[in-house]
Amino acid sequence: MRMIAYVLIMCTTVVLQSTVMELFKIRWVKPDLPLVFALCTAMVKGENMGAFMGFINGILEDIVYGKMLGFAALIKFLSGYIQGYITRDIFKGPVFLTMIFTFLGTLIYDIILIFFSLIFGQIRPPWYFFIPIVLPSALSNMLISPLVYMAVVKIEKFFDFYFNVKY
Amino acid sequence: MFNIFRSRRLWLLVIVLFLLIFTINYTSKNQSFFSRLESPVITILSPAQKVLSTATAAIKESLGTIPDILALKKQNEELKKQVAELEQYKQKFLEYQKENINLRSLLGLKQRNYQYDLETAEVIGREPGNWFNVILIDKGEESGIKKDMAVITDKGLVGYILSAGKNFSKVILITDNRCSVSAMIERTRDNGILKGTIEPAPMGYIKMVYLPQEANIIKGDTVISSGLGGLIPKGIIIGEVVEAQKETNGLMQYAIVKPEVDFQKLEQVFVIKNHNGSQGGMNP
Repeated sequence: MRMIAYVLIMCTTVVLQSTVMELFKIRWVKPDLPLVFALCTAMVKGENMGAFMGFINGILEDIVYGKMLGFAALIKFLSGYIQGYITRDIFKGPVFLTMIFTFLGTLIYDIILIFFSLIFGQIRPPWYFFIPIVLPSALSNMLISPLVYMAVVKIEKFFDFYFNVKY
Repeated sequence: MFNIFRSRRLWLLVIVLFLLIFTINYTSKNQSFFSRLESPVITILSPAQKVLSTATAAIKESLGTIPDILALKKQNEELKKQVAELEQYKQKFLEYQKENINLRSLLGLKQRNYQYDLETAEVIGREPGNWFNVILIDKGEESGIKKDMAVITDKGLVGYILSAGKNFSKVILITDNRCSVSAMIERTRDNGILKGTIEPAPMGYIKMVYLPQEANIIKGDTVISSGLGGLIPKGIIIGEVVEAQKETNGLMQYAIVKPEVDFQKLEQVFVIKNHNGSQGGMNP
């Protein structure tokens, strides 16, 4: 039940990302709400859940906007897993740590994307876009991360209360 | 050290990775499988996408009108001048048209029909990430839209249909670096290929490659579609040249083109269902 709820939330973030998030686009870059949600879930729930959420986010993106199935799923699956793995034993209480981890998580995502884009021939000279795309998107994701992280924690508490806690 | 549980998890990770790589390879060659999968998902998501994108467009428009009001008076005066000029052009155009018809009939040339069969469509979604440029429109096979058809606005070329579902289509924009379109410089008639936003084109600009070394391309030259390859009809405005340089090998030159269409404000597009009696073909 909890998994279904998370999948539905991820579907909502993907729809919001391709519509409402256009309002937050500055020049060519907009914050990636589903990616930040996957990264924050990875930080709260660990690498397995991070990988799962990344996978769901990626597969939806592939189906709705992709040229091939599995490309975004592979990249976001790995990003979610790595984010959860490297932040597993770290205390994530302070807001600035959440922001730094989201910044690093987005950088890792973009590096993985560039790597697989070269393998599957998806982007021509990708390193050229490191400054205009990668850094601004990491910064914009970093800015929305405290809100998303707080939302993930609240969602978790809500699910714990309704699905797990028995009186 | 990995214990048994950890190594099992590692194996699971590796298996998932291999499965995804296999799926990427399989669906890149077998589009029909992908189409069968995308149709139900997009059909479920598209009503929400449509409502939210309409709301987003309305908010964007109202935000955009605030600075517009300030410039309205000046704009009105300029537009009045433009209307007067255009009236003169219209008269000239009608005269030239008549003259052209007469000359063609004299030469015995078959008159070419430049009328396109257009389908109007609303943009209901945009690529979520920042790397690729794909949009989702609310018309598909039910409206006669097929893969590879050209997509335009009143300003110029937008892109072409990447895939079409029952009542939706994916459009790859000309700024996407996976997109290739045959184009020519209107003034000099030199042919080249537009390759999307790739080095050294800045974001939002397109690189036009394979231009002849001797081509006399200057800043401000208009770039139009060349019609080669049969994908995009000939003569559709794409943009204007902002810079032309020799390639490093010295054999060719390239141009940086500023697209005529404002891709940030795309709300409504037209799909060219046929042109001169033929439909679009594969991209060169």
